[in-house]
Amino acid sequence: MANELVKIEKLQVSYKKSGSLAPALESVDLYLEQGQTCTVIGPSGCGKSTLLFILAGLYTDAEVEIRGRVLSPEKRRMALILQDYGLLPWKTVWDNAMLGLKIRGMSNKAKQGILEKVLRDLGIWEFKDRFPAQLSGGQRQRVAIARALALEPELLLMDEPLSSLDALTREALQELLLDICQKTKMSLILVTHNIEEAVLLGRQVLIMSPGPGRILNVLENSSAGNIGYRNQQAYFEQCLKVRKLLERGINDAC
Amino acid sequence: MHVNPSVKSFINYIIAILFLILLWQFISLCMADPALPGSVQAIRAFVTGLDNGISRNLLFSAFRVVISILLSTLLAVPLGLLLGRETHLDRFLGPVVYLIYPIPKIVFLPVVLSLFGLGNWAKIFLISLIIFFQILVTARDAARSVERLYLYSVKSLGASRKDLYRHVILPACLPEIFTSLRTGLGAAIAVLFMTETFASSEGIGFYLMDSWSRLSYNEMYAGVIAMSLLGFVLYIILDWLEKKICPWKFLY
Ligand SMILES: Nc1ncnc2c1ncn2[C@@H]1O[C@H](COP(=O)(O)OP(=O)(O)O)[C@@H](O)[C@H]1O
Ligand SMILES: [Mg+2]
Repeated sequence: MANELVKIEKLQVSYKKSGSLAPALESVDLYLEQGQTCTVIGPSGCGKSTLLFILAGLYTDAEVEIRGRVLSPEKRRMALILQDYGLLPWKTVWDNAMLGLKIRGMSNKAKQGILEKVLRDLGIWEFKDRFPAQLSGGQRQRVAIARALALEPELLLMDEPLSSLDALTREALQELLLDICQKTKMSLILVTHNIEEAVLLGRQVLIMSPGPGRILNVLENSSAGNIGYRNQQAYFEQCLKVRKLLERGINDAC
Repeated sequence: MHVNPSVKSFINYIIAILFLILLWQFISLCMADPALPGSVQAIRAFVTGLDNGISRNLLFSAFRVVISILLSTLLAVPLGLLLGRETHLDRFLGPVVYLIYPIPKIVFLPVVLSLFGLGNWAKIFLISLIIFFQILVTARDAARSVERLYLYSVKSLGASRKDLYRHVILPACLPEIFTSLRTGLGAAIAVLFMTETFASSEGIGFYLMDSWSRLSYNEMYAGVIAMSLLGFVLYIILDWLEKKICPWKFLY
């Protein structure tokens, strides 16, 4: 049997708001094996971020009520990348990228060397003394990726990491991600609202619908994982399928 | 011709100062009242006064105001950040702050003088008390509005509560804390002056009132110049510190 990395069963999450509960996720199941990629797609407000934050173990009992079973790797074996608020504006590229290692007490010379190599590989070494405001959106996400990679996570969680980028930068970073996943055997759960991105990157595509968030469909997409897929007939067909499922989900919910 | 921007702004300051000196001289000539000597006499009195009491009194005043600012900052910033982030603490102390903040603390001047005597500490206590609340409330409100996604993203790196304060909450609030320090500085010097005019025998406030009671108007204005210089220099130091500590605010 393959190694299971994430297993979620009948997950139900409600936000605690001044006494009352606001349901955000209902009966969500998710299963991910080591080295696999999964993308989550759905309209805004369907609970994608909530799912990711629960996986990352970020919420306290004071914030949410959780029912069901959540099995995910230890916190220190995961890394999370957010769309706009991942990098701290008051830290330079180097300090931002170093932050994870520093917090985990691993900012020694050897790790600094590894981080330098990661920054060089991602083409952002020359910006190491700049602040995030002095970078383009794509460069910023490269820094966020570098920070995550420096921690050598088993599972990378990404919340719409490429949403605010222009098309070409986005494609370049999608290829970078595919490349990293292949080389490091890292597992990936990526949230997106972009159909092409979901199909290109996820060997499993979860399609969600809102009110409260649930999983409509799990699309097996085992051809995903290399860049060439973008130009294949099967890819276009999968995109079409996802689009139809999403549209049906939205119509049912409204 | 290319002129270094900092040289340019320096030149602008010089021009502004010259303009104010000329304006002062002009008004004094028009009014022809001994209570308003010209800027030239005042500056002359200031320079000769330096060896004759001003330096010593200026040191006293500077000591009092700098210690007060340091003391209140060191107390108000951590407490304000905690109040802003720790709801339990805020539930308990929030109402207390809410009640005390709007009280004009200067009314405690007689009480403070009775309790602490007429020396440095009464003055330092009162100045600190006043700017403490300004900084406290600013730091608390800034800490409350720290973007939660920054906190989550750093939490996901394994940050402890202490890490969050150090890497996220404090730096996020620093610019607003500097703004409150700048307004606090004005209040601090005003209160310094008030306290030094009461039963005091050192400080620029004392020097000024003493000159006034002796009808020595040139010296009185020398005191005004000294007090203004104190404020101006502290203001420049704050600006410089902010640029050092918050470089990300000054990128363009
Ligand atoms: N911190 C929060 N407190 C209360 N409700 C929240 C919070 N975060 C999200 N929600 C609610 O939970 C639902 C799912 O939100 P989210 O997970 O952010 O969706 P998505 O990422 O798919 O846009 C939404 O209805 C949203 O309003
Ligand atoms: Mg979201």
